[in-house]
Amino acid sequence: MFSLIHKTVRARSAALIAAGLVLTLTSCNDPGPAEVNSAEMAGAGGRDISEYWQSIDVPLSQNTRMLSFEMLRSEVSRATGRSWVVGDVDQWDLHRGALGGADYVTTFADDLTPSQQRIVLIRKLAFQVCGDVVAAEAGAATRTVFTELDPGAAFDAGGDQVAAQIQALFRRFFIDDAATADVAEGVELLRALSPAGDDGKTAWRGLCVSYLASMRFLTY
Amino acid sequence: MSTEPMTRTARTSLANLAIIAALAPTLACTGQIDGGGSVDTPPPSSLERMSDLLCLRKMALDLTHRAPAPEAMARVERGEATLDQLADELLVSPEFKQVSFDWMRQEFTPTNLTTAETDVEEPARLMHHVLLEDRDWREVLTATYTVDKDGVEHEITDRPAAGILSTRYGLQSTVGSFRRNWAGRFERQFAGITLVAVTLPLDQMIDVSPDGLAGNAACAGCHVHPTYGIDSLARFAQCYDDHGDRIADCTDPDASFLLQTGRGLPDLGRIAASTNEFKSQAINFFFKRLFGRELAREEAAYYSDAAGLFAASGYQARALIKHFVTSEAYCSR
Repeated sequence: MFSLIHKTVRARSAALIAAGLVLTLTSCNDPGPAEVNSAEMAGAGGRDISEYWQSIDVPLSQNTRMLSFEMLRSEVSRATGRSWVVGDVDQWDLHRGALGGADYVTTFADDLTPSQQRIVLIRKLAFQVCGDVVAAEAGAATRTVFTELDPGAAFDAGGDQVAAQIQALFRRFFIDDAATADVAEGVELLRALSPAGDDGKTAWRGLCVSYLASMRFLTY
Repeated sequence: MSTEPMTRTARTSLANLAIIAALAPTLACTGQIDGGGSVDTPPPSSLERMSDLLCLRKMALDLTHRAPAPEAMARVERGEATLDQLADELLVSPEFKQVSFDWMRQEFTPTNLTTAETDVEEPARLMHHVLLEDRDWREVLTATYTVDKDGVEHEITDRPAAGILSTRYGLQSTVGSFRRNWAGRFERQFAGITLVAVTLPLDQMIDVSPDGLAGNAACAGCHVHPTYGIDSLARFAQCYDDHGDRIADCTDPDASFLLQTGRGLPDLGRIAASTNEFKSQAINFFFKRLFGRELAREEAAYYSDAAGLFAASGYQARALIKHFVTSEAYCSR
């Protein structure tokens, strides 16, 4: 009898512990208990130093930002191997202010606001840089950006070579592998820009622009 | 102490200060910190860990404002370098030196009180020097030296020295009547305490002197509060004129801040630097540069983890930065 009660108690205890674990593990989608060192949070006279801190729904989220002027300049160079040049004149410093770069004379912080003017300007630079890349690599013996095909040649949008080039471009721009849907979207864009596949320059330039001016590229 | 008459606007805007009494919210689920602070503890499961290459991109962009070098990316892909190692390399790069100086310069911008002769970048240079030399970050408020434009330290012997507090910029850029604006900025910048000016009704004329406000029940709560009283804090800088020059033969009066008393700027620097308030402001300063926003109440666990690391490192800012950029939270979104 005693043994039976003991087993029952143990079984109930186990069930309660298991239920507690389930509740602990599932509540709030929280992987573990808070581990706040209260000594670190105590200010003078016991005041809470986080008194004026903001509140946030998901801790440690909301940390994605726009590229600053200098970051954008460097990222465009990394992805395309080229600067932003018009008529042999480098455009970056000319557009520092318009792209939000601080000069530490009149402005002391980068402006990361994705304003309409800034987005239009980024599209303009993307068309210029991507056009230059395609022009430079079309028909070239060695290519850096278009590693899988000649961007000046006619293309078969449904072919493996085009898919491979889209994947390579995607990885170059976004430092990530393209999903099947990403490749399909790239093919769709190429087809829209050159339905017969006979205008490679326009098509590949368009795909390059769509990547360079995308929020995926412009944020980090 | 300045005794020149104040304008009506100045009187009304500076006379009363009220604390923003932000009540700590009742934290239920969202208040539970899920330990996303250190490399060993995961961020919330709703966030996604990015690849090491993407995290390297983020780290390089934040610390150098440059894309990651192809060679560094290749090393990560081949498994020849960890993010921890690459963080060390980025933190000693010339690009980081420039980026971190820009972080400091953003904090000390010219104001309508600074002049063309004011060395506006002196506080930024001092902070930058403390960072790059891996000195104790608290020297920002306690250093007995300044740093020239070539990055060379110079011991200050002709006046009391207290890091950036005793620079001309520090004393001149914000003043206010009875140095209340200076004190308000100090509280915001180094203790994270935000006071807001209260505008008095036009027909209300009150005595705005320290004694007058101390005796005014509507004002005393902020002006002579035992912890963050603005007038008792302002007295630490009472021996300096509006240009930032020390007033001849002036004797620093008794002053207090965060329940500690002292006299003059060196005492204030020592007092403030010893507090958790200052530590939290230092940590928040770097957190903001790397996460794009200030810490939230729900991130207290992440904060206290960083605070422990910061103290254990001897208050080395570079160690704190490395802690942030190699944390799981930094590489998640």
